[in-house]
Amino acid sequence: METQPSRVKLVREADEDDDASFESFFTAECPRLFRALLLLTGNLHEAEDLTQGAFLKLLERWDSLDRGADLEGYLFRTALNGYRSLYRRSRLATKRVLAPGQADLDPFEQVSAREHAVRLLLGLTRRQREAIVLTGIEGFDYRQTAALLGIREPTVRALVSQARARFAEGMDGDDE
Amino acid sequence: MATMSDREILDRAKRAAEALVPDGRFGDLLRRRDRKRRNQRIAAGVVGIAVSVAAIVAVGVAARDSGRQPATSGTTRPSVVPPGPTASDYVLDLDTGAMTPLPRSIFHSLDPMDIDGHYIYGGRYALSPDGSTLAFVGLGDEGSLQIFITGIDGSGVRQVTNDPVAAIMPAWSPDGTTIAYKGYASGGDPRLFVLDVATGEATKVIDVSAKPWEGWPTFTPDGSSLLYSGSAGVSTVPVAGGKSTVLFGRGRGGMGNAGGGSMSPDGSLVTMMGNEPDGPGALRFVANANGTDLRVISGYSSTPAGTWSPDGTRIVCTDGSKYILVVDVATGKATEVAEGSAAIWLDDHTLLVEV
Repeated sequence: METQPSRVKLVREADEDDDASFESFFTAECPRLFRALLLLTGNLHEAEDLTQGAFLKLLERWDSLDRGADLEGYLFRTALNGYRSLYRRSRLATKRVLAPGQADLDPFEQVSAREHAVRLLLGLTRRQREAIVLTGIEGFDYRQTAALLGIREPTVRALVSQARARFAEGMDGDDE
Repeated sequence: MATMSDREILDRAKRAAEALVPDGRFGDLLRRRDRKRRNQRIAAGVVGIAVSVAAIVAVGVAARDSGRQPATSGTTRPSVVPPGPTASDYVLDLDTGAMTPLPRSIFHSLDPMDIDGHYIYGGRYALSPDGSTLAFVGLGDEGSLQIFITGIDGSGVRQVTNDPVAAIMPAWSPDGTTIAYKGYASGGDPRLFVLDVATGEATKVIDVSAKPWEGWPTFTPDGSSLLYSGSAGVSTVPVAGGKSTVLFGRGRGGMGNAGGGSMSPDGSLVTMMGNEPDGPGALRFVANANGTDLRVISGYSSTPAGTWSPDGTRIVCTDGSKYILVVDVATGKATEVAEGSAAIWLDDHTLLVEV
C-alpha cells in the first residue's frame, strides 16, 4: 500500500510564522480531507462542516502543537471522530420528526446521482467505507489506518477485503 | 458493475469527489473561528450576568431574611436564569447579537420531545400576530406532546390541547384567536385542526398523513385558508373545510415535490422546500403565490409558521447543517446569524432560535 509522505511536517518546518504556516497546512490538506469526508458521508454540507470543524480544532491548538507531531494524523483523527459522532446523531435523526425538506433528502444525490462508483462506495457499511477510503483512496497504509480508526491492523485488512468483495458481488447487503 | 475493477471504482469515486472540492475556504474558516469566539464571549457574558443577578438576588434575600421570621408560606425562589444560550433555546437580537435564553418556565415544558419514538426537530414555536403570546409544543399532562401557550416573558404557561396522541406544528391565525395544528384525535389518524384558543374547541380541517413532512399548517394572510404540506405538495384548504387546492407540486407552479410552504405576510410570495420535476433537491424555492416566477434561493429547512420576517423582506431557515440563515428574498443574499436547528421571527430584528 502506498504511503503518503508527511507533507505536514515539511510545511511546519519551512514556515516560521504560525498563521502563515497554518494557512499552508490548510491549503495542502483541506482538499484531501474534504474529499475523504465527502466519500464517507455522501453529503456536501456535512463534509464541509466536518472539514471546517476539524481544522478549527487544530487552529485553536496550533500554537501549542509539537512541530514534529503527526499533524496530518491528528487532523484526520479529529475529523473522523467528528464523522462518527455525526453518524451516531444521524442514526438518531432518522427517528426524528424532521422539518420539511429534510426527511426526504437523498444524500447520494448530493454527491453524484449518476456516478455509479460513488453509489457503490456509499453502499458499503460505515466501517468498510472508512477502511477502503483511507487505504484505497487517501493512501494511508494499514498501520496508519488502524491508528486513525482506533482498531487493529488485521481488522482493517478484513474490512478492506470485505469492501472489495462487496464491490465484486454487487453489494446486495444492507448498510449497518 | 462487472466491468469495473476495484481500482476503477475507487478512482472514479475519487474523481467524483474531487470535482466537488470547494475552492479556497481559509477565509471561511477564520470567520467561523471569529464567530465562535464572539459566541463564546456572548455566552460568557450571559452566564456572567446570570451569576451576578443570582448573586445579587441571593445577597438581597439573605439580607432581607436576616432578623425576620422564616416565611410561613411556600418559599418564593428568585427567578433562575437558565444556563447559557448553548443549553436552551434563546432570543437573538440581530442588531446587537445579544442572546437571551428563553424563560425557564417555557423550556422546562419542552423535553422530552418525542412521539411514537420520533423526536421533534425544529418547528415547535409560533408567535401570535401581536407578538405577545408564544405557542409551543411541550410535554403535556398525559406525557404526550401537546401545544401550550405562554406570554413571551414566560408567564402564564398553559396547555391548550388535549389530543389523545399528540398535537404539534402550531400556527396562529392572523387575528390571534385560533391556532392551527397537526393532531391525531380519536383513531390516531393525523389531521389538521383549528383550535379556538378562548373556548378550547378544536375543529378538524383536513386529513393528512403521518409522514413528518406532511402537515405544517399556516394561515393565509386573510385567515380564510390554511397553507399546508400534503401528499401532493403545498396546498391550501378553507379553514371551514372543503376541497384543497394544490399550489406547488406534481407539476403545479413548476414544482415536482414541495413541502414546508410558507406565505409572505402580504400573500404575494410562497417559499418552500422541494424540487422541480426531475430536478435536484431538496432545494429552497420562492415563487409568486399564483405559481409564477419560481426561483431557487439559498437556504434549507424552516419552520413554516415563523419563516417570513414581519416586513416580508427576509426569511429565516437553516443552512442544512447547524447554522441559521437570514435570506433577503429580493437580493438572495444569505447571512449566517447563529448556530441552531431552527428559528422563527419574533419581530423584524429578533429571532427565537432553537438550539
